[in-house]
Amino acid sequence: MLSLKTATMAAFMAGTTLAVPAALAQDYPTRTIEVIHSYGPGGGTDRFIRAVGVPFEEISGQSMVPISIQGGGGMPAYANFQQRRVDGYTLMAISPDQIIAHVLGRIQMDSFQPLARVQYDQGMILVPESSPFQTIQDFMAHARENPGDLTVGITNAAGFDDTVMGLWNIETGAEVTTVPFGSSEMVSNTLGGQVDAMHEEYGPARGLIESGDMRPLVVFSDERLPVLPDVPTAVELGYDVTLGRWRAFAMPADADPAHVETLYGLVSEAVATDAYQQIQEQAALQYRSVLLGPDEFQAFIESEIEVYTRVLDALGLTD
Amino acid sequence: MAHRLLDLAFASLLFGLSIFLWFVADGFPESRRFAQADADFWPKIIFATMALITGILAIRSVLSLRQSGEEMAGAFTMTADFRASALRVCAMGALILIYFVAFQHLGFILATFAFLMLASFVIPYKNNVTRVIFAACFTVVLVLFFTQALELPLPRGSGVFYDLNVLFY
Amino acid sequence: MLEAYGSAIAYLFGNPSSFLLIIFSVVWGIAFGSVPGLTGIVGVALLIPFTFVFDPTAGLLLLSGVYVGSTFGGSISAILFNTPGSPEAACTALDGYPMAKKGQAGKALGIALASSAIGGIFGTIVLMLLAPPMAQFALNFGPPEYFALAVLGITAISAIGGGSVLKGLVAGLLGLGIATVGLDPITGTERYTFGNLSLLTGISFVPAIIGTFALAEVLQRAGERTSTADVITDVSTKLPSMKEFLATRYTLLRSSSIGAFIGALPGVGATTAAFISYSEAVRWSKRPQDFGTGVAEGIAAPESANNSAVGGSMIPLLALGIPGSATTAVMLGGLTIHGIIPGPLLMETNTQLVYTVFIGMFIANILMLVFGIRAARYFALVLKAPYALVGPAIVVLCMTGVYALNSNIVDVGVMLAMGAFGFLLRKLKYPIASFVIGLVLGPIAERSLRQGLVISDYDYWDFVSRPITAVLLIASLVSLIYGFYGQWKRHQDAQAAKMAAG
Repeated sequence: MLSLKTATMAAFMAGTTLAVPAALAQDYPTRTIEVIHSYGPGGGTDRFIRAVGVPFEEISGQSMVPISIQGGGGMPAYANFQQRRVDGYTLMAISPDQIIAHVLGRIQMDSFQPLARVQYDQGMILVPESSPFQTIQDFMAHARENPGDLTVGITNAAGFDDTVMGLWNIETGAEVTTVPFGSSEMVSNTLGGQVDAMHEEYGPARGLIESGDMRPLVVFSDERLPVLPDVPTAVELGYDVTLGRWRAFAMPADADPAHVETLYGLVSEAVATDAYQQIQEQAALQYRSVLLGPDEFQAFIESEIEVYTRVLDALGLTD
Repeated sequence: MAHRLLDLAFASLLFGLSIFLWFVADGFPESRRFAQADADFWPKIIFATMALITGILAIRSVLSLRQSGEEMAGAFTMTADFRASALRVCAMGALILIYFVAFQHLGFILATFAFLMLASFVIPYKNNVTRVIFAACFTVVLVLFFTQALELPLPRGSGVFYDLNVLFY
Repeated sequence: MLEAYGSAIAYLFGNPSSFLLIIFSVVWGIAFGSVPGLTGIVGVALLIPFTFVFDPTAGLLLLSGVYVGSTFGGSISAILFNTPGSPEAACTALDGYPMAKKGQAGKALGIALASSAIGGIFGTIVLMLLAPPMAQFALNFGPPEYFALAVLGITAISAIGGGSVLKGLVAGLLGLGIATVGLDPITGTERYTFGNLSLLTGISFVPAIIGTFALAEVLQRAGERTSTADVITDVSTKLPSMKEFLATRYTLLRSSSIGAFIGALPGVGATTAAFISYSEAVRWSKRPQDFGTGVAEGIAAPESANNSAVGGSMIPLLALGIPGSATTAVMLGGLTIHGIIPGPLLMETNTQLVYTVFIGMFIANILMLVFGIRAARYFALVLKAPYALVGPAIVVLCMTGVYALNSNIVDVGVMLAMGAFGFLLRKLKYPIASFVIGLVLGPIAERSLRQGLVISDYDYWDFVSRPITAVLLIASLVSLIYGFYGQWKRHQDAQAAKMAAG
């Protein structure tokens, strides 16, 4: 018992002395970087972090591991992130969900130091093969004549999909009803004709598009997708809807600026590697994923907050 | 006898609780888009039904208590057996709670080792050497398994304990 | 099709290492499944980085083997320690643990294992033969049908529990009520969080189950006077005798069919399948009052259903590219990394991959029998250890598993609270089975009811008049009434017997 106690003490003393050099920037990073995210293990964000993590480890010699803290609109993940020590070894993978939580007053975006926005996806409205709507014009004509009659499957209540469709309703002046599902039920309910259409990103939907089971009507981006040259963008139609799901890294607001700089350098190197680019292409995320550094990303976040506030206000979700 | 009283207390508690929760549901923020089947729709169905059934249960317990009212006096005497058993349950419960707190503040290693040691005293067991060896080995195996083999995070605690635990995982 | 199987067999024999992969994955799966908190999803997710080094077929073989193994693995700890290792096995604990407590741990494990293998093979055969038509049929199931299915499962609580009917109902309602905590599934508003943002996740299923079963059990055991007399002594894993096993054949057939079908429905998986088939087993049984005391059907039903659901949930994944469960969603991610685009064309463009996985799952189920017996034997050794060491170790494992699953200390808190609550329910003789059924099926019922109402523009008639919905709802109503009648009749009979005796 006594020997165990002394051993613990010794280890403990060693701990406090070793902790000091770790804080110096030139020796950074010297251990594993942990990236907290609020999605499931094996999900899109988890895979994104691992995909960056592989080249990151080759470049920096330190690994980068995802820590999944699911549920609660990202609140438990955020709480965990807030409680951790600011030592440069804890990042958070953020997405539009954090912007939404900020607008709903649950979290503060200024508690993040934006590091790098890496992926930027684009959503679409898709209808099943059996749908009477061939083009987005048919679809909108019906929506205008019968407000609220068309149902669009979305994933998660009061989340990103809801915001995109809310903005679409505002911009078009027509009204479609959103029905929140889990992501796989959304697809099956659309295929089965329970709802008229769904909102989904290109990557997960491309198998169904290729087989002809689903028809994309409109894509929410500035430019048409090279793989879908016939599908118009919302912007072309005169509706300014370009919101897309993005994936990014953030550090705590009071992170050491030297750490931010070092880490951004490592991340941008990792993202530029063929290994990462290949994985990104396999998930069909390459079309508008432009890497944004801390400052550009900060500006991007601010513009996002503006749009989301407008939409969520209109949906009656904010107080 | 005691269990009838407990039954009544629990049913009445649930009855009160379901009415309270019904009213909490009534106060949920209203949604403009889904007003006809809003957030309170389902909870209200559940808690109204629950209030009804627990109400019946409570009345029935009162009736059965009345029937055997004369035995009331014996309701509060406990056998020594029962007391010892209740004591052990409470001790275990308290230890688990302390472990939960220590888990967050002292980190995984210290909290787990201490808990394994202390909790093994709740249930009669004589071999002190095995106790220590087991507690130590089990802690080490778990730390290695979770942090090294699975790369899943374990709590590191706060303050100085954090610095200590960072050394291990 | 024969050609496809030919190329699949050629692949397997061309890569003998794939057999090793299947063995490894099944063992890994069983191990993962049996540790409380570590679910099959985590087991699959952790292996995804390793699939990078293999070709996609080998990768998918690895992942589906884990899925098969983990679904069974959970039942080992559920039966031996009343600690469901994975949510799929929660239902198995209801009858498995009482049977083990009666000194028949071997029989319980044997039934679980054999039922798992039969269910698993059944599910795989359905997957092989019927994947495209099943996937198409499942698309007919919209929110109203999901709702009716959940209601059908929930109404079985009227038949469960030999004790008070009213207590059974209250326990079920408590489960339904607790499931509403957190974010509303339709409007996204907060419910019953009382301003505490960490409650937004709600009462997560895994911690709730582990609390009500495992922690409550440890508390119970701590209170028992003699700690050594009650040790489960028979720990050999002899399979049940053919006669005992054949007695459950209808349950096996029914549960395997339910499992395969529910597995094929996107968004609901093996856990739901296990509970619904348990409900059905109770409903169809001649002696429903015995459930919960350790009857063979009570183990055979959930175990065959949850393993059959594994094959079932691969149906929408392979036929449509829609994951049928959380675990297959992770697999889908793994396929994407390999450049395979999941979708309706997958079965045509990647024939070899799909058919190799079929055969692989078949082999995995057979291997599960072989390794399941071994794993169960090793685990059963723990029963010989003094409970003064095992009890606290179970607490530690539950805490660690639940924490590591989601790194969320609130989940651990939920587990503790549910442990105390489960202990209380047991002491007051509220049936845990009803409570857990409410907890599992409640969210599905609520979500689909409200989705269906939004879609039908709040037209209730439109909602219930859909043929499948109508049939299921009428069946629920009939069984609800019949359940009450049965309980009432047994009560009367018991009274009459008491009178006659007195």
